[in-house]
Amino acid sequence: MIDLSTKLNQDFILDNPLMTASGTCGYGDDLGEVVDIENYGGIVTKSLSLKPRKGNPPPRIVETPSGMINSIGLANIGVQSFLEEKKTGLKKYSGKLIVNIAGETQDEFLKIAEILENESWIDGYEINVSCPNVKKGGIAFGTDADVLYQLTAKIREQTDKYLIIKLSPNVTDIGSLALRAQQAGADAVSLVNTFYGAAIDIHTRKPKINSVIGGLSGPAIKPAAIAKVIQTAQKVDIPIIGIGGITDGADVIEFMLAGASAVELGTVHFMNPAAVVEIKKYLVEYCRQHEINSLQKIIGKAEI
Amino acid sequence: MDKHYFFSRIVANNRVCDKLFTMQLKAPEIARSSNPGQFINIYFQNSAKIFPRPFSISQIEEDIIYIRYKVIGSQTSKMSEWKKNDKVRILGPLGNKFNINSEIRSHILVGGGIGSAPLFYLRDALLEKDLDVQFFIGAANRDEHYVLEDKSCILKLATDDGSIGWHGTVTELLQEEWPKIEQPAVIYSCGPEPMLEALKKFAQKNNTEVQVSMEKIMACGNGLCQGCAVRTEDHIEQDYVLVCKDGPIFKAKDIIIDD
Repeated sequence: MIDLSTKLNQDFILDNPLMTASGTCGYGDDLGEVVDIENYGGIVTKSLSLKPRKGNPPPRIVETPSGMINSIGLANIGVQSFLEEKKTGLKKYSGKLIVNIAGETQDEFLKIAEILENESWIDGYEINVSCPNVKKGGIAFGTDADVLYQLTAKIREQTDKYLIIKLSPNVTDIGSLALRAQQAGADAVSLVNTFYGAAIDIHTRKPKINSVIGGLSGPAIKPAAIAKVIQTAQKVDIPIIGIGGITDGADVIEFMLAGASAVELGTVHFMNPAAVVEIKKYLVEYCRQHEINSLQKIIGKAEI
Repeated sequence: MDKHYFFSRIVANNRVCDKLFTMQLKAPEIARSSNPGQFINIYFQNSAKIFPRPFSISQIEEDIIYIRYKVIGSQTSKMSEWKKNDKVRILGPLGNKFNINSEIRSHILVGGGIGSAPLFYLRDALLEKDLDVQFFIGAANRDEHYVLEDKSCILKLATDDGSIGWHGTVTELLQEEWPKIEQPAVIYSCGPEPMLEALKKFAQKNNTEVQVSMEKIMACGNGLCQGCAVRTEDHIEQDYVLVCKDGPIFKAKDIIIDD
């Protein structure tokens, strides 16, 4: 029997290392119409803000070579509607449920976490300090080490839930930021959010998305994301959740060897909505082939 | 699962004329549960172009669904090479449906070019209810038309070059014919945005409902990415709706078509 589970800490064990990346699976329910979400070790919801957000004007997405640029602008139903509309469905999910939180101010982050704190069906938070597509908040919290430290420490003070800080790759030294998050009490860091990207229509000379610069994701960013995971693994002791262009099981193995304890699947949901099923099969096969009884033994085992 | 994601077998993939094709796909569950106006995603094993492509369901025959497509880019070009018995990954049925009100006297279908695709399925559904259907289709020229005659309902064609039917746009043709159409009427349409916009204005003037099938670039096709937003026609508070999930069918008066 091959064990795919991955232990992020004593009380936080995922049945398998596959999670959804925020913003690519709705609140778990939309994706659930296509594939059984029980296949995931963890679900990360779309970013929630205190009040509903309508998002950015169109066009919001564009296909680019082996990837896409998005500028959705954190469109979401807000924390109250989330509790009213999504609770019943999500309570049935047996894996780890992580709510992604996006605030414009430190107070907003804290307020959202406060509202969710007593909901025992929510296992953790992923703090979005890396959205490139909003005017206020977003990436501003994830690029200044002191601001990041303060925010993380404040949320840590008021929650016992598993606390993940989602980092931006659009920084000079992601490892130092991850270290500051660790020092402030984060349980894990997830990386990477999208890279800055832009595309221009050469005939109309107009940018292909409304905000001119958006977030690049998809297979195109995988090698860049792997590099960020390696750099971060050299700096921190807390678990790293790897994100960036994963499309198949081999990609997951690669992220884990680079130092990721778990991974999030994002853009692949658009390319192949049932990818999780195929990836799980591959992980088992890989372990068999390499005579490994527990997948987590490969974490950080790239011979660097 | 409400939406079916699987490898479908191609039953036929025929060139109709010039760049127009009709593909038949074996998809029993989609055929059973779909409604006119809904679409499917076709997935390409292509690591450079990562999005699936959406296609309206154009007809249903027992457990087979039809799509009509025009070769425009590299993906549709690839599709035109697919052969009978090839397997292709699809997801569906996606989106909402045309709203059929049987109390309405005249049901007017207006298609522009390949935009006529979903209207064939709608025509079949309306005829099944014994409703009065008139089908208007416009295209650049004769070769861009899927059908030149239709025994099941009144068919009126328009071409930009006058090679068949009315010489001009399909909206002009509709205006010309409008006085002969028994009221009340409802218009269902799919086609290029300028055509939909023109219909919206025409219908406003004539106090008639127009349902439009919209198309926007989509990544997921089922509400996950929120990429295919269109602005709603609400002047007090700006809002958006998603073409893939809230649409693709909207009342023209509710949305800003040509944003």
